[in-house]
Amino acid sequence: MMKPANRHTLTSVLLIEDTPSLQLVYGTVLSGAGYPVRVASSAAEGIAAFTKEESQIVLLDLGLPDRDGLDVMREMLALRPDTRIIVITANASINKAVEAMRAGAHEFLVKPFDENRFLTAVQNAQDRAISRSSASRENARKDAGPGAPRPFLGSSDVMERIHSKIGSVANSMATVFITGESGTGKELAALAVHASSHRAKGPFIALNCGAIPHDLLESEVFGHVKGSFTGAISDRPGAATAADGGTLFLDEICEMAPALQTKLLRFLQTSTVLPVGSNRPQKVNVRIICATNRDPLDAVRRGHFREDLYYRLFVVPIHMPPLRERGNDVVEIAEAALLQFAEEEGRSFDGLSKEVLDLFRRLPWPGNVRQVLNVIRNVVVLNDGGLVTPNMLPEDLTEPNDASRTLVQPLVADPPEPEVEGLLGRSLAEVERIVVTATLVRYGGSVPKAARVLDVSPSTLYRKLEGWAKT
Amino acid sequence: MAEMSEGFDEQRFASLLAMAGPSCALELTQRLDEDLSRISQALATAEMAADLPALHAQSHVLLAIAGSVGAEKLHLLSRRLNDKMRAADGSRVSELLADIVVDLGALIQRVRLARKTLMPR
Repeated sequence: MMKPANRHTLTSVLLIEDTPSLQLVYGTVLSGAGYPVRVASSAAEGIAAFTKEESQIVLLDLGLPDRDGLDVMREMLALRPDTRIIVITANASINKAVEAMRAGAHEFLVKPFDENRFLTAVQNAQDRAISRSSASRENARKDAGPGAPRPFLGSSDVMERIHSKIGSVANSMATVFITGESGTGKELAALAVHASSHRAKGPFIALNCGAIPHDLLESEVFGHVKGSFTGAISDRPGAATAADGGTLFLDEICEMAPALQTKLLRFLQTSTVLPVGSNRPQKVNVRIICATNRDPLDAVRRGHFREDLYYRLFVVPIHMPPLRERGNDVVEIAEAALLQFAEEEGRSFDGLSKEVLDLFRRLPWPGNVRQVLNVIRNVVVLNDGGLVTPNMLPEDLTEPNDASRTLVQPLVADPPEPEVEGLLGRSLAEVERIVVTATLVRYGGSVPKAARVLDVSPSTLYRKLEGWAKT
Repeated sequence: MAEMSEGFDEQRFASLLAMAGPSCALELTQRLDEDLSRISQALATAEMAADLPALHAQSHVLLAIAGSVGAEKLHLLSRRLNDKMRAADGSRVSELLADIVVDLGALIQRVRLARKTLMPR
């Protein structure tokens, strides 16, 4: 007989089943595995026992004589949403399973009784119940202490509003949709929401939908079973399963392939995961945060993003402002970065000179916070220490009216704008680089603007630029 | 007992009783006897009254018990009845019920025999 991993922490199981012989069969197996069991023979009796005792796991037969089993489950979940309810039914239809999972069931077992499946389901529910109560205790302890540290730097009015919004939304289950240019700190904001929530002890799983090949993305999100496709040599859980009990952060959500958007929508509606090649849906408890550097509504209008998915996800929007709209935040960020990087590199700096601070305030920072951090890292690595003066800054960091050179300069000394004739005979990679460079020149070095024209995400463009800068 | 050997997993039944242990096995056979006899009676009543919802409900319980104790053929028959009732399909139900009654009777006998052997002498 299969035994639970830890007998010392077993929670009691409430079994609601009206057939006496089946009560005894299920009860015997559970008791044999060490679970304290309480049995109820009807919906009314079950609800009464549930209300009276703190059972975290309920085994519920859907075919009860006095009431529909799904209604009973809904009532229980309304009373205690953390309860893990395993439904048992003779009706093996997919619709019934989906209906039960959608209503909040932890797992769906089809009669007749199979000891191994039965105990595995209960043990899974037990494991989740334990981790959940540990997390609750930890959160309670944390809540009792001093306030959590601020997730990221910036005391401008606009960032104060964002800090406040993150604090308000953190403990809800609502989906958060973060927008903003590349480098504005969207992932940090997502982490801040997670860290301030009751799920903080659970996993935070980030997935960049734009960085994974479309044909692998489904497997990355939902997992796969062994043999489901060439190269699937073993079962592998996806990001949605890995994030169970925590937060799943889907970055560059607008880059997701349409077919996968449909599956994501279904996942959001049912909270169940169906790994590639599997026919057994698995219930997960995940909070979704997504982000994009595009205008999501524009992506909907262009037909790149499903409208129903947009409305499902766009529940609590948070817009991360570009650094140029954050007033003095650039100074705070630069000074903090100087301290941190100097310590990491074993150098000693005396701060930023007035001229440097003034310049920083005037610059448009098209790469936002990421660009500031790169500049400061450059200064720290290439200088021994002292007060940071303008001559210590990277040469390509120039005044706003000359901003077009900031990004283009490292790539090509004299950016060409060739005619088609001039492109013939070149490799596709060379053509791509020439076109990207020329577009950047035309749009004053603005990566977001060039990305819009080229119909790619700014982060894709940043990756290309970084790659080319190394060659 | 020859009738029950067809489509009946003796090993599954034996392991169920072993799992229950000596103290519970007797009670389990008693409950099985009572549940199966009740179902048998209810099926007959429902058939007489052409009460499809009642047949549906009884087939649900029967397929769960039959499958749990290893009565595979009876499980299959009762699942077929359950599917028909779920689809509100009343055709050829009498023939199906006739087969169920035979297997159900055999299962009850098998359970009673097991109970007899478990009783303290």
